[in-house]
Amino acid sequence: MKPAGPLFHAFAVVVVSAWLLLAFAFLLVTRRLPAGLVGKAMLAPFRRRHRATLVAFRPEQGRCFVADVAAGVPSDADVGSRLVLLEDGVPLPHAHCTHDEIRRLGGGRYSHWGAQLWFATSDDSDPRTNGRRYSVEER
Amino acid sequence: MSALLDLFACPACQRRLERDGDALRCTCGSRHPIVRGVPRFVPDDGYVGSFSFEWNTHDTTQLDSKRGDSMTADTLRAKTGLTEADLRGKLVLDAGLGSGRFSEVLAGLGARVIGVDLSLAVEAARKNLGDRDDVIVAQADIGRLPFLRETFDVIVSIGVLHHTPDTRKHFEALVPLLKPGGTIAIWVYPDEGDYQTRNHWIPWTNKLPPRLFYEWCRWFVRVMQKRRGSRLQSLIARLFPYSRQSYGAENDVLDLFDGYSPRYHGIHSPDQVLGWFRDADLIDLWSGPAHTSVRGRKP
Repeated sequence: MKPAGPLFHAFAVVVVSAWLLLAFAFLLVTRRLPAGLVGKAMLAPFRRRHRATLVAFRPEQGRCFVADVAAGVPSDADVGSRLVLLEDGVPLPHAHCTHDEIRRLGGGRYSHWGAQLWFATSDDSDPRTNGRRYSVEER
Repeated sequence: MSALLDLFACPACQRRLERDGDALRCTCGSRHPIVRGVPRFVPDDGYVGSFSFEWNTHDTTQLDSKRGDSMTADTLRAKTGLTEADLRGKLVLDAGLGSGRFSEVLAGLGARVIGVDLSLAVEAARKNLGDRDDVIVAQADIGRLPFLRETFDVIVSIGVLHHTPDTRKHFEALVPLLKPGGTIAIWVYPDEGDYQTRNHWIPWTNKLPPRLFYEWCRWFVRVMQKRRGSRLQSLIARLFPYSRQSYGAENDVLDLFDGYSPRYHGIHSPDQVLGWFRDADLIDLWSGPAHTSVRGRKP
């Protein structure tokens, strides 16, 4: 396929964005999308940043383990998470992953979902026995 | 052309087809042309025009041989649980092959593969899979496939059936094509999280002309990558879920377009999919970590 010219590209961006804004308004008004998310996102910068050490891990499926984190911290299940998972103080590389990716690919992928952290360790080892310390902090 | 061509049957009367120049012909009078090396059992790409555009635009984006990684092989293993031992020497139907990414892996594991797709993705697949004897590509409708009953040892359909007008009905159309003892493995969109949210957008996004929406997708992925990790990006990703996988920007563009452009976008619960397998009298059911990936065997 021939690459689009800059004019067509700009036209597409404007027209489709306008169409999607219209769709967004409709979906909000008809409550198909959660309106509370937008409000939560506005308040998020004023909250105190959360830090904690994770202590209990449950195996989920594949390479994935689950740990509990504090409820009420914005997560990817609502407004979007800013939680960073640290392994012995070093941030793991892939946040906001799908749970399927974490199970399949491991390698330090994680997701903060509701009051839980779904994650795989950097080398897919078992966090209950690998002797490393896992903590989270909101950035 | 591949000996696999002999396996095609008339979709109307179920008789074997005979080669007749650049076509396959049935004694009932039906004729199916072979165009650019691809037997055609449908007059056009029906309701899947977006896939025709998508796979001919991103013909190699998800091919392991071009990427130099095992993205597709990993996905195949995770979503079907099939191993080389299950596939070597087997006749496999790849139902909805797209640009041929799974067919390439299946053939690499020693299977003989027939890949079918309703869309013009078959052009890309044919280009990618070439003239090899162990793979043949055909343009056909999964709901009316040109094969005799009990033809295949293995049938795989990953991420395809939910794009048909009736996911269950199209799954049920595949089962008779399995040999006794054969295995069928599918993955469909789950009825959860991002897939539910996306379902609300689809009636709006799939009305857009593919080329126009595709250009927007390219812009959107670029903007979101610049905003990666920001609160705004997280919020947008929740309200308008898009691919943020670690397979590169081109794959993200492809996935975004793929997720929002199809005419049909079925979502299903794991129990629902397992129920289809049970109702079809399939046994030894396996459900993969991707929840709605289910595999079963015909007794």
